[in-house]
Amino acid sequence: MEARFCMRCGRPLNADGRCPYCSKGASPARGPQKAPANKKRHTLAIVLVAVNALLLGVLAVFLLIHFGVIPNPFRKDAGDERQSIYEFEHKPTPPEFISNTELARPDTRTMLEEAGTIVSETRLSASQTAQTEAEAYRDLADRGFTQAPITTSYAADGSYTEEKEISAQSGERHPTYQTLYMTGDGVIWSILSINGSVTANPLSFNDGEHWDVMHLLSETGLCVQYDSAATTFFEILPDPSALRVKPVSRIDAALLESMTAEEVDR
Amino acid sequence: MRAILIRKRLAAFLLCLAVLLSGAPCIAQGAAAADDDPCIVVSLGDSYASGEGNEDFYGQEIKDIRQRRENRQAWEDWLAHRSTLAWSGQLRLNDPATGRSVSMTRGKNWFFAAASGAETENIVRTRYNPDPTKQIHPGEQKKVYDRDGVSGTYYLPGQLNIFYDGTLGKYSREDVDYVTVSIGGNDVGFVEVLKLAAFRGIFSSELYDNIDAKLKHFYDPGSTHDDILDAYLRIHAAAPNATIIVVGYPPLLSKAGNIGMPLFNTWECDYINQAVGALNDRLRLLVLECQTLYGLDIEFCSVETAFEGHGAYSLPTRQFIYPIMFFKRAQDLTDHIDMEKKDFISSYSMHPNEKGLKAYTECVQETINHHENKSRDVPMWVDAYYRFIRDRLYPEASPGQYLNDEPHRFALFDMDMNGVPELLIYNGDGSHAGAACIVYTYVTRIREIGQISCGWNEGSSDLAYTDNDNYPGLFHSDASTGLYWTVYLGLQDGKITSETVDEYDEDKGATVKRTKDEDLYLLFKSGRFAPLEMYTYDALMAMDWAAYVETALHRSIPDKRETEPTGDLLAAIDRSGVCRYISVPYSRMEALMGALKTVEVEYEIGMLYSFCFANTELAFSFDANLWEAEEETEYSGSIPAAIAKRYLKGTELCNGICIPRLSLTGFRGTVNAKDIGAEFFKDEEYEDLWLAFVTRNGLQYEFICDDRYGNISDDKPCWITVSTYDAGVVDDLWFCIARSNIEFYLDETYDVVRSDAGTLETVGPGGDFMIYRYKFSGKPEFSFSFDSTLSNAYADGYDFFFDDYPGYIAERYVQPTDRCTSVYVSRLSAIGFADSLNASDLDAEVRLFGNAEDVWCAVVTSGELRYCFACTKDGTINGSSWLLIDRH
Repeated sequence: MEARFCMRCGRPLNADGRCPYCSKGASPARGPQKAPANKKRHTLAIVLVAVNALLLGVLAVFLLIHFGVIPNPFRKDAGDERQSIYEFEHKPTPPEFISNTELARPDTRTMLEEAGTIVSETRLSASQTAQTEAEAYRDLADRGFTQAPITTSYAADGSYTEEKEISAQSGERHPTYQTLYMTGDGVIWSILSINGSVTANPLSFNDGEHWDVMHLLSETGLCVQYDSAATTFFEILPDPSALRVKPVSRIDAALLESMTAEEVDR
Repeated sequence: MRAILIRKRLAAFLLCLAVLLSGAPCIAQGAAAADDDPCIVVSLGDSYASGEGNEDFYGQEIKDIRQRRENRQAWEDWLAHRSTLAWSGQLRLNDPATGRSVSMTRGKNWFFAAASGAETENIVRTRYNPDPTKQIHPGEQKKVYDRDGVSGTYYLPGQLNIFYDGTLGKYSREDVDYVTVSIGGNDVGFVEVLKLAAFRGIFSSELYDNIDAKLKHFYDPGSTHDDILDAYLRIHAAAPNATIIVVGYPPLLSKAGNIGMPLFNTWECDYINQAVGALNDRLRLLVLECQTLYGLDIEFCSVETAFEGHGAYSLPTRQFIYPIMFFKRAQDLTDHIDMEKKDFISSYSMHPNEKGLKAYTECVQETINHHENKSRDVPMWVDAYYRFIRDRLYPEASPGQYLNDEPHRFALFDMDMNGVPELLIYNGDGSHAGAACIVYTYVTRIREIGQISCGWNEGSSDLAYTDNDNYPGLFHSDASTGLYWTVYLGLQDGKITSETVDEYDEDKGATVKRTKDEDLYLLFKSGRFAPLEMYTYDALMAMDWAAYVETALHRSIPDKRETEPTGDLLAAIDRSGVCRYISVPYSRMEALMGALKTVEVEYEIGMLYSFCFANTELAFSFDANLWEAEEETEYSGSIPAAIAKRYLKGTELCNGICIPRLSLTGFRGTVNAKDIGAEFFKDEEYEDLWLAFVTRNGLQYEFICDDRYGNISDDKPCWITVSTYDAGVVDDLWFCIARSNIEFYLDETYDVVRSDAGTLETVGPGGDFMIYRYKFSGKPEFSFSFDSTLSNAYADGYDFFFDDYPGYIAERYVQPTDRCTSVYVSRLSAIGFADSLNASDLDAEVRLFGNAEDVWCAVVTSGELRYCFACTKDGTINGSSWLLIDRH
């Protein structure tokens, strides 16, 4: 038997099943009165959770971007290397913005004459002693100078070029070659082979603290230099106030290992 | 590595998330209250901007390299060798008044991204690289490290990332005010050039070829010019509202020694410096190009003149640049050398040292100051000429220093009437024969136009303006000689034009103007040096800069009885360094110490003459160079020493004052030097002048003694100077004198300063000197020598003289002190002994000297002293013999 009384005031319901006093009815078909309110709350909770999750997600992304864990997807140039480099279109540079400063290059002959006496000069093209890469490589290797690459900075015609490592097989002839050598005591030497003549420059001793003039070892007692402007080799007997050359019988690794600053200066 | 970084970032993220979830405010919390409008500075560039070579580097504070590697910021700072002493960090932008440098606020409004070894391609923005051990963008800068067993490769991000990656914090890149940048040096291969010079044989043409090749291709399409231009444009795009300060490079080497100086000969030095100059020229023009064609707010800052004469291999005390350093230093990225890669030179080599960084700072600061003034239309040449004169001619000048004996004089004539005056510097103060005048002009830089030899050989001379368009300038001799020699000067088509006349020729329409000329700003008057930075531009313009310079300066002490002493202009510099001019008459001088008032300038004489403080306690009148101040009016009870301490300590502009009476110094009147613990000795210059020194409470007192016995009368003046010597800088030592319980030594300026941290040892006779060794506590030893009088001490023994008899010497020096136990006299004749005498004359015993086999000496004792005369075996003592006096 279904209840026909008002759930609120207890009075009998009318034919429509409604309370004539408080318009509340008991409709068995609607089930318990609490059910609609619970459903609304549930829906609201779902919505709130979803919104919170969304907010937290946005916040998480924001923080990940902020701390650099992920790149900023909203930055218009994010990840675009082309834009990040900013390649600009250059306008032609007017002549007044081009520097014509020319360096006053010292004249090699004047320089050498001031530093000593020129003993001989030999054109590169006429040189009988300028070595090929293979010869220079073998010569320097025989002397024990194998720690560092052997390089040259001059082309076969004597013109300046980028420094390159030479080949042990090449027959190409260059005016100068150079390499480095460090002794067991940590003394660093620059080894130069110019027109077949080897000199050794004790870089560690020529540091300005041991003496006030440059010291070199040479097998001839002379200093050989190459002037690229004239493509000519010069041999000079240096003025001791400009350069001290210590003559030695043969420059090789064994000799350099035995050389102290005092020995070089002696 | 990558995993760790990600973990750290995630940890930070989760922490923030937790804070957020807890409902606490996050991001703004703890943030320092922002200034109203702070100056935001970003420093980019290469090793010359990063401060390479000057420890400590940022990141170095984490001692363990493995731990350092875990901290990305510290690791990148260290790899980039960003120095805590870098010039960019020493700029004072936010608070110039307090002198606080921007490095104090790194990460707040100073941001440092410069990196040693950087090229223009690194001045770029790169994507975030989650694994910086691999390169993902061509602009990332490769760094290879192998130190303390930790090795690897790391790619520093592009330097422009600093504008985008959140480093700027609450600021946006649009907020940045200044970007300083030094870039381009590595693009043209500075390091390679220097290595070449060092590795190659002397007189090799390879160095010249290499430099020529690099400069030759500078303007090739897509070459260095374009790269640098791109870098500037990229910086502008990143910081569109910032002023870009492009900082040039210094001349690296200075000629010292002979032509074959080790590693570099003089031609190579010159050529390398020329190359640096050429690069600077190109950078300067690039800046102009950016200003003109691209509308960039960009300035060029030259450091060349500031470094002139201070390059590597100059005298150690003058060096601003480290020389080449073989082998690796403590913070190089690798700790061993690699001959295969020719890597055996420290990256510290050929970079500005601490002094160099200060010079850099000053130059950039001036450029920025100038830029700040630009809104008030201060022309470029003002700063350019100022720096030129200061750096070229007075590199050692201190702010406010009055170069009293300086022969150079200056004037600015707009000789070609183009609105930019030419600078005329002429040597000789008018009394020098063969005086010459060098004319410089300014277009984009200062260039020498030519030189005019002046015809006068005597008398004084002056520069003046005329109203003649062809000859706006005028040289003329002073009438005091009875001779007039006058040259009208002009400039046409870049060449000096001149016309010599016997006297002012009114017919030429040239009226000599001696009045104020609104268009000309004379910065330097009468050859005297007045630092521009002391003035704001408004103040400068407000001053009545005279067009004509009165050369006659008087050193008259102001006398209050005279109301109108003539010819003098007082310049007052308060303790904050602000310069104000006050004019005579002195009766109008209302300046009070601490509240100095500026009185209108009445005379058209713009040079500092004297400096006057006045307060209710004591009035000082300083001489023009601010080195000495003479008390000149009544005292009101204050102890002058306290006053001196207060004022001398308060300013670097004045480091000495003169008190006319001993009793006013706090010492009782009429004392003996020994009574007050002062050391006394004969002045080197004046025959009968004996001086006494004593240091008390950081002040150095110098008295004039009445006699050689050290008596000081109350009426003798006393100079009080501040003793500021830092005993740690042994390089600055010249002489060391130790004759009593106080050790003195002279610094380069010949100021006597005191060391209180060291011990003195007697080494023994050496040549003509007695050798001593002074050992500073914890510092290197310093050897020096005395002559027999002990009046002079030499670090490297040259001139000496003897003028005392040995008994007196011994009595005076050996007895009173334990520090100096013996005196050595190299030649008896030099101290008044007869040419020849015998040991028996002295009642001396002849015996072998010490453990020597064949050195004989005659020994006689007197009281505590023993006299040991060198003699022959038979006791003959001649004038060339030596004498050793020591304690018995």
